[in-house]
Amino acid sequence: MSGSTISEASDDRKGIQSIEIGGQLLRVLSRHAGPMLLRDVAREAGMAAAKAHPYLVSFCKIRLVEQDLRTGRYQLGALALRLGLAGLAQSPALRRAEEALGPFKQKVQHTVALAVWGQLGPTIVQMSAVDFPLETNLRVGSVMSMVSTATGRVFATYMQPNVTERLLEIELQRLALASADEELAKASFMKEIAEIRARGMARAMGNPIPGINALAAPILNANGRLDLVALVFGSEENFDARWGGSIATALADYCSSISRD
Amino acid sequence: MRDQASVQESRGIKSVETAGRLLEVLSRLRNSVELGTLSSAAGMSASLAHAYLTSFARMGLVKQDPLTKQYSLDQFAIDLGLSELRSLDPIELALNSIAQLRLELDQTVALSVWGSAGPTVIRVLRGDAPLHATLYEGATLALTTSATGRAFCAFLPQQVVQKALDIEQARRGMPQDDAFVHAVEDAQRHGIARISDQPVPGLVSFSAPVFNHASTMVCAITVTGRVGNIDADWEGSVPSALRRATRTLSDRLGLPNHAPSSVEPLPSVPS
Repeated sequence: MSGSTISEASDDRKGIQSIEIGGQLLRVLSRHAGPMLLRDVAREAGMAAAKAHPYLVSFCKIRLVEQDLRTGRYQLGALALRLGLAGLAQSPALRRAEEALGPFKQKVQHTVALAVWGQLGPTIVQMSAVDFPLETNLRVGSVMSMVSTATGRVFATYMQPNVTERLLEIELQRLALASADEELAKASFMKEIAEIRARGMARAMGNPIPGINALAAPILNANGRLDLVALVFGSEENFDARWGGSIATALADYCSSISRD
Repeated sequence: MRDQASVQESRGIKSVETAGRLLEVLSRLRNSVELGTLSSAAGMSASLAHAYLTSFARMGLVKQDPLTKQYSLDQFAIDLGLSELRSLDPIELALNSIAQLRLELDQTVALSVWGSAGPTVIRVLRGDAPLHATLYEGATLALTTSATGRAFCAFLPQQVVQKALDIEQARRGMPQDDAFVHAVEDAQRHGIARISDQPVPGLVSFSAPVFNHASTMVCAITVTGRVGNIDADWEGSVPSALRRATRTLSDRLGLPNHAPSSVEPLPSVPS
């Protein structure tokens, strides 16, 4: 995102410099959950507010950004959502996984979901419930912890380390600070990762969401790289979380059938 | 073509608006495409489109396959969408929509979601005349005898509504009701549910579903008024305005530009 684009010698044209400058504002907005004031967006993008403003005005015109008329704050808009959904829809693995999600849900009779890697970490992109309302506040768009959720730990296990290391480092630091023995906390996490790799599946029982059990497993592509993660969760009263149980078996079958196609 | 920030302070950046045409085309893609396809769909020359795509590629918005030379969306595009999915609040947006509808129609407008016991009213904005004693915030509405209930029956998956429907019909002791089955079919055909003279005589109500990007119904918007005041015709001004409002809202929530695909067959009435 800096000016160090000279190394990309394959570009035979200069491109549109103003677009790339404006892109820095989009990046800032995409990292924030809530609407932002002009001066904050500008400051984080490293430009003057007077320079950022016309960009935001134009981004609003093309609906990439929206401005809340009451507060004057900016946030991403409808075109941002559509671009992202289109980008996701171009993933053949996600398309196959979505098609097969309904039958899989019927088989396990619990809420099922799919998560992909986003800049803030594992993000739920699809969710299908057997009953409403859900017993958790998990929803599409939710970002999951890498260390404390079954889904996040599957990403930590299978994602290329250079992609996850920055976020994982921050979370592990927080985990270590919150526990009595930092080294022990990190070591037990690493042990868990090794177990997930051996089993091909991660489990959460009543933690981090009290009363909720979950199982999560990777959907890998032909090169063994992680495409997405499938998860099943439900109330611990009737959720069979055994490794060899019916849910674990159905989840393993679902993931391998999508990986294979 | 260069940075025009200083020149166009108040009018914005012209190149951003040109970029918007290309992004609009890219946002409708489901497969990778060639430069020519993109540029003609965006109504610009191939060389201009190429300059923009070069910048998009540097930003991580698009990537180009080195072999086929085709463009597809890249990680930054996905990040923009995921960020928007995370912060998007359908209820907040729906509250804005019902406020606009109330101004436009001057009728009572309500927003309902699916709760543990069925359709639950979360906001009512009153029109000119006080009416409709059953429509208040926190009310659970009947599935069979309210427009809102019929909308949920018509557009939520059967699995979701069946249990509440069984309970309601057992309580009323009317297991078989052809009128309800037809009402649900009508709602699916018209994309909007209607009821008149029920549960309150003299009232007519229309209720329309709001869908999200996964084509799942997230809430219902209902307009209620006196029979003489609201035209009960499917194509009358109230249902037309309601359809417009819910389509705009569903579009904002990312509903694909075709008919909702997740609508399962109508709930069967146990006999």
